[in-house]
Amino acid sequence: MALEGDRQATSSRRSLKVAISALVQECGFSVAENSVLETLTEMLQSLLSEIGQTSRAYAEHAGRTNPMITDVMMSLIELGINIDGIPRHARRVNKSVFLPPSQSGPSQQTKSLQTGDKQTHPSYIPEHLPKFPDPHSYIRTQSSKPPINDYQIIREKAASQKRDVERALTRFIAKTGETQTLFKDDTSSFPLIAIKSTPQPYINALLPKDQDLDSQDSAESSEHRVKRREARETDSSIVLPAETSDNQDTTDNEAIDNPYLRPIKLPKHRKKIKILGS
Amino acid sequence: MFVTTKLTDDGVAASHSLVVSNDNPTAGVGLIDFVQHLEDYAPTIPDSVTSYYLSRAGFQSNDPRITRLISLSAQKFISDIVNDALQHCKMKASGQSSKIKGKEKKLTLTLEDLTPALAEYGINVKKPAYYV
Repeated sequence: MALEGDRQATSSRRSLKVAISALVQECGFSVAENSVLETLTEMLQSLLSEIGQTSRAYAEHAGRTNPMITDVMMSLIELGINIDGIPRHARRVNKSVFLPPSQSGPSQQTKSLQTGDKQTHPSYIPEHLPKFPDPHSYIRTQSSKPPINDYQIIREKAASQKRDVERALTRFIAKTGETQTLFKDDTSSFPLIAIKSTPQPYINALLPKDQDLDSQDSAESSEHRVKRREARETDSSIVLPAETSDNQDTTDNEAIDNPYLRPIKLPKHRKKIKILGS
Repeated sequence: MFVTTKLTDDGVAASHSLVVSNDNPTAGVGLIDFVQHLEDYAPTIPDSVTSYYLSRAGFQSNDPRITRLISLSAQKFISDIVNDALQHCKMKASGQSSKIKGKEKKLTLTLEDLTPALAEYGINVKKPAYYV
């Protein structure tokens, strides 16, 4: 409300200034200082208010609420304005009239957002009492859903997650690594991960993979390990069968807690085998 | 001085015409006749602006003629002051304009001209001591 009043005050003052500029121009000036215009605006503003106040006072003094022309005349006379010249002023030749500022429409009241349906009064509440507010303002709703414990849904979710992970991994490898095409002429669709050919494809199947060697042999003395590695290197460079046996040997040594495994005894005459292999 | 004495005369006359009916038909009657012709008149100050200031002063009227009469009188007040300022300006210009006659056409209303004009009406305006 106060804001609206301010807006009206500023707009009224602006149009007063325009009117004063027109009057100044009528008198024969072509340029006016801004301070002059402001001074005159202020004067005109206070003059109008003063005329209004005095006229109202005269009207009320006479016991009326609506002021009459005579009240206005009296107030003008009291304020020292020459009322004789007014008709002449009104009929002046170079009268300028500008369009009054158009009224701005009343600002639209924004509707308050309504959510949900308002509850009706129960029978024990009289009708004249105010209605219930929107239900969201007093009904408690949990912000988080309870976790889903259904076995089937969880299994499905896990399966789909696994499938997604696998698919993403496959795609990633297909993008980063070598690919083969399913159809010869169409290279972009259905890329397959290229098979890496190894000289001995069966080796992977033979080597035990499940155990994490590094974490298990930490108990072993480093010296022993170094020795064995040296031995392995010398062996692997020469003979493959010997290497496989050696590998198995090391893994078996470490996985000693398996009751069904026994450490394989190393062949005593390595030199002989070496000679045989070469 | 001359203006103020004349005004008080008018005031006395008008109040007489209000109190004693038709005894002294001078300014008041003429103005009342004039107001009847204000129905289709558009003053320079818009009606809405005048009525806004009047309503702020507690003055409420349904007759647009009254509003227009007030607009006109306020307009005339300003117009008279500016006319006086114009005379001041011309007098000052005639005193010094013997050298520059080309610029005479463009008249500028300054506070120096307005101040003596306002002083005649009993309004003291001083140039502010600060820059605006």
